[in-house]
Amino acid sequence: MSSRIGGMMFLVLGLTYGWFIADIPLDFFSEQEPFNARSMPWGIAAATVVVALLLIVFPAKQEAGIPWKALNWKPALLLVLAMSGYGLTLEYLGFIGATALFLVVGILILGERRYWQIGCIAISVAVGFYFLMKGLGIYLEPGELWSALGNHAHA
Amino acid sequence: MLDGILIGLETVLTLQNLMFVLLGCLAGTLIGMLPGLGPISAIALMIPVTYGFEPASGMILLAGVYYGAIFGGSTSSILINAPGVAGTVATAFDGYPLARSGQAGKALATAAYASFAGGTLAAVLLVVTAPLLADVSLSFQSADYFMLMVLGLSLVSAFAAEGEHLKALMMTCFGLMLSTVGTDLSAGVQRFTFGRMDLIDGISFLMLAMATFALTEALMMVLKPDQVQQRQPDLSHASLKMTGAEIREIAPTISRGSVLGFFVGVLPGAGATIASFLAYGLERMLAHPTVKPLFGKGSLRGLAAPESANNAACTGSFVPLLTLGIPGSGTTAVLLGALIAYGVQPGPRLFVDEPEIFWSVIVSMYFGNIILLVLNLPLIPYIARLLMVPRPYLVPLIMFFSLMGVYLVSFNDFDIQMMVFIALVAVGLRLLAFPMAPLLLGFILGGMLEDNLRRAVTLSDGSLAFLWERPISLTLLVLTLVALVSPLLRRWLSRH
Amino acid sequence: MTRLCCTLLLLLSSALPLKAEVLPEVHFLIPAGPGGGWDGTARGVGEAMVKSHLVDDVSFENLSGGGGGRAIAKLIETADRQQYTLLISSTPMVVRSLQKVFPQSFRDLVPVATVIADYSAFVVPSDSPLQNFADVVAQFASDPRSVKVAGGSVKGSTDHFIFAKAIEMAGGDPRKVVYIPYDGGGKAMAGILSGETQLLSTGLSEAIDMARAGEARVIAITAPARLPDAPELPTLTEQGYALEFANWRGFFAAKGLPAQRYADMQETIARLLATPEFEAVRKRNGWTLLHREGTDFYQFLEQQEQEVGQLMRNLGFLRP
Repeated sequence: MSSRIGGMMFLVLGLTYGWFIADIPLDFFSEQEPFNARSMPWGIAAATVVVALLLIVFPAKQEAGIPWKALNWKPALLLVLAMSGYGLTLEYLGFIGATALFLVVGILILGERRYWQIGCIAISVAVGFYFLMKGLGIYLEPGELWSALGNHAHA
Repeated sequence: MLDGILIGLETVLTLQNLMFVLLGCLAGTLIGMLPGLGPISAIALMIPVTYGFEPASGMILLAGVYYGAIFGGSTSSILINAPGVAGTVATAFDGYPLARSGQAGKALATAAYASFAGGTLAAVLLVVTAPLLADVSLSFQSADYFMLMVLGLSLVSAFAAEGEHLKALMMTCFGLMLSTVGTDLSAGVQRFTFGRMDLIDGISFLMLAMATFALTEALMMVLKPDQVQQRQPDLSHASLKMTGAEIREIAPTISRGSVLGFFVGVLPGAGATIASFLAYGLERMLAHPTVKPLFGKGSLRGLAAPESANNAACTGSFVPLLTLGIPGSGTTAVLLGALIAYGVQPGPRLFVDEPEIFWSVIVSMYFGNIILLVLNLPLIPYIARLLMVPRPYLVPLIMFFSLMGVYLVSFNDFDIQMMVFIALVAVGLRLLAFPMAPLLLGFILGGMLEDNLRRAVTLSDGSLAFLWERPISLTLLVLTLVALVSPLLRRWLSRH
Repeated sequence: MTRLCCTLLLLLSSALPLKAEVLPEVHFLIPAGPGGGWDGTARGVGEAMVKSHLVDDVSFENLSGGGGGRAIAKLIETADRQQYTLLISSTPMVVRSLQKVFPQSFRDLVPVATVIADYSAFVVPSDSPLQNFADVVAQFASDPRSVKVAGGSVKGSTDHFIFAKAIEMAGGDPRKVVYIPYDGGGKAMAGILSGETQLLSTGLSEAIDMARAGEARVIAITAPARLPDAPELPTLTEQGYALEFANWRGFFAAKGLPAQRYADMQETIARLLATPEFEAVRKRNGWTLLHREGTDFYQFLEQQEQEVGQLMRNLGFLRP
């Protein structure tokens, strides 16, 4: 079953990819060249479609079904959102704030409830890493919030 | 040559220089374990420390940092499936499954032994063959690199479990597809960037590896808490000992991996990552059908091959650097900058004009490898203790570690969103039982395959005759055919 | 022991305010990851600023993406928070905004000053029959495909069009130039040494180290006159092809800062370039000094943009 689902997905992907090849600009010398910026993508698109079709026609034997329902979807998806949120807050809250927040949220999602311990670990990891990087001469942004509070951005 | 080695020994065996080897290895290992900081950053960070040193001492320290960083990278690869350095991605294929089955100590020890043996064997090869190899590294042209990448791709079936070859091929195509995103080197045009500025520089290999290995694995731990159950790691020092049978099993692997890694490392257009993938593929292809299913599930051979190859390749990359002044990788480019800042001019005359630098770097390689082994073996049980961290804490920490690993290279928060997206797709594909390693193989070989092919075709004014006219290309072509045909042949033979 | 004394002296001297500081701090914004040319220049300049006590507090921020466009966008968007920020950039900024890689150009920032230049160099293997640029022109005239040009960056970049420009000035057709791009100068150098290409067009700083290694020979550089640090290298101008081209590296600030701030930034850089500390960094890296500030820098950029734009249209990289 999984081969067929995957095969269909890749078939769509291969066709979409092939569709967007037309968007690759060619300057006029490349149009005359035997091998230009579109050649390799054409080859890849064709190979993808062929392999995807093979996968649909000849799926792997003896495949176990996927226990979709038995999977622990909720915390996994929440973690995905938390990671994405981490990327979004990094600029505003700064490295320390965003990292500590992400770790707290992540640990809470996974069911841990010892709040003091969570807070201590999250903050010490974030602060420790910040100073380690500072010690190595690597700049991490303190965040817009920090400068909005009247602090100097690059102190 | 013997007096060369004596000069080298004399330089290295001062208390001060031995301290520098030690300091370099230690700093390199620690920095290499940190996310996002590979050998390039580690060396760049340590260069200012070495200003004012004798050139030989400076190089000794930096060579130690280089090995240490690679070794540090394999530690995170093995323990949490997060390859911090591109050269250690293949280490995760078998190293992480070993760690998960409770043998973290043994996996780390095997990596340490394999790195040691790889580095040392390559240093011997370097001494014996360096002057000759300068010519070898220049005899490879774009056409030959193209064929080398084709040979690499032909190993893809080696990256697949039995009966899953089509899926592996599918993922290779996906990897090739991703490699075409960004600015095209040969024409300078943008491909598949959809007008997004952040895609112009393409997708980085490290980002793809972190997303599809570390993040995906962390999410799988949450999705299937009972299936990905981790066994309690055995943390005793005794667990590090290898049995005689195990040593006999990996010794040939290590020697093959080292020789292959060294020669691939000598080529300025290939490098440690390609070397480790080739060694892994080769080992799996050579494996007897009875042990083949173990690959990808925690085979010692599958771990020893890429580990010995990446270390040997690093040593090999010193050949074009020292004898020709040509940096083959980002790391050797930084090292070249350091040499020049010391006032040393690498090239064919280095060997004659400043033998003490040439030989002390080589001799320090032996000492660097010994020190790394001595330094790291006793630490392994403590490092492996990381796995004792309870899962609610471990999973977010792995995620932080992986995201930082990519963020600290680009400092671009778009990369974090892209990683999360790739990880989501990869989780779906893993649930559908698609293997991840071929994706990375396709990705890393794809870009180089295309660039080299286009160069070769332009250079030959549009003809493909280079495939059979150039002896190196022809040899590689024959090897590719052998790699493709031999599994079929073996199956046919076993039936009749 | 002497080293210890020196360190102590340095520590002592840093405690005493020797010179009045013009700027309290400088924050460098580097549009690429650590380890490249922009990064090295910014860190070198920053190091010299601290060591010469011109600026006490120096920080470096790397931000890659979009061929450098992302950092420019950030500087424009967050201008009010970038009071003491200097963005480092170089010639590719002009090229990339012409190619519309990113929508901004130097006009959206305030050019402060250039500090160093890297001239282009044409390099051949030591055993090549090509001795000077006239030989290259002659061979190109007989068969353009017999002089394949290797370069360390993409088609349409400086490495490519400088050679095309030189051919054009010599009366050849720049569109007939066969340019072979490699991923970095080191691999391009391996390309000429392996014999697959005949000539390498690259930055002098990269070429000179390889030429001094003895495997290759520099046949022409695009400096206006021979360089004091490398007087053995012939210029294109002296060979009768009046092509001068400097790949400058310089600093930009955000728009809308107090007018005095720009003057202070210029003064700091001007004073820095005269210090022995900067001289040490310059020597170590083999940089060539090129100092243009304020309006002079702006006009220089406009002129370069016009020249490069014209050439790229001739080459077909920009639609007219």
